[in-house]
Amino acid sequence: MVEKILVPVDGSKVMERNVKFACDIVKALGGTMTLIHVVVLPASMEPGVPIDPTPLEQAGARILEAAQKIVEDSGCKADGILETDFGNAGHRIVRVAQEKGFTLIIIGARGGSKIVNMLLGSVCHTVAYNATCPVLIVRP
Amino acid sequence: MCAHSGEESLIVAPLETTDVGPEMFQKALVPVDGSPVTAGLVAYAIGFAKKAGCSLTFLYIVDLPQTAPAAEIEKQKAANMKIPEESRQKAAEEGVASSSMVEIGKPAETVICMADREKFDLIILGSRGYSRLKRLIVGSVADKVMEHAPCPVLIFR
Repeated sequence: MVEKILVPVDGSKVMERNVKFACDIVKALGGTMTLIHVVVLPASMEPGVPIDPTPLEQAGARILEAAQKIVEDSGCKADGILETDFGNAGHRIVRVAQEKGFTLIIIGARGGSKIVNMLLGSVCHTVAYNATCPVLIVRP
Repeated sequence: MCAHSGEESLIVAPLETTDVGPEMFQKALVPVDGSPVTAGLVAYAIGFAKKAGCSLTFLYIVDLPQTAPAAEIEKQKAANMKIPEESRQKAAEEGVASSSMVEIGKPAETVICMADREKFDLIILGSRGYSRLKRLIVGSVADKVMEHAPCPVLIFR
């Protein structure tokens, strides 16, 4: 079975390390690689205040671009998916993986959150528990 | 003045890279418990090992206190050896280098210590996919391993 691998990226400090690691795994296993970044909109804005998602989406597109550059530098290639959602990005990642038939998700144990004593990041946690396909948790 | 674009600021510092070749995984630890999930897990682990070119170690853990009498420990080890051994045979038939072992201890702690001590570079875990409520009540081995493992963890679904 050809692996169809989904790699969530978040633009955090450890992203470069995680993406490179994912590239090495893709090289070893074979298969295709797709990067995904979920732009999380603030859900707790005052009612009636319209949210303009454009700046956030632009920032998200830049994160995806940066990740794609890391992939190219590692000698791989990957597609990119940019999604926008409220709440935890993990749920959207799980849904995309299911809908598009990915066979493996490679995700970093920790991302951008500042709470260093949390052992698994919240997004990783959500993905690990809810994904319908195998999940490979990598540690920087 | 630095004329870098905004893109640079996303990656704060270039992290040192570890140069890993195609054999990035050398040896994987596969805890098995003989439950219905095991067959699927073992088949998946074998498929993964073939592609990644790593060896597999099937581990069965008997949840006994370390203070149990030595005779009892030996008896339990011998009695349960066939669970990881069956998996090892399956892997051997598929041409994957593999071994099997039985250890005594708390399941999650034993897996984590073993991975650390024996320098495993991957743990392949089965998950029973408990509901959120059930997970709260029973907790899970996968849960602890995932959080405390010293190496990457592959959760099989």
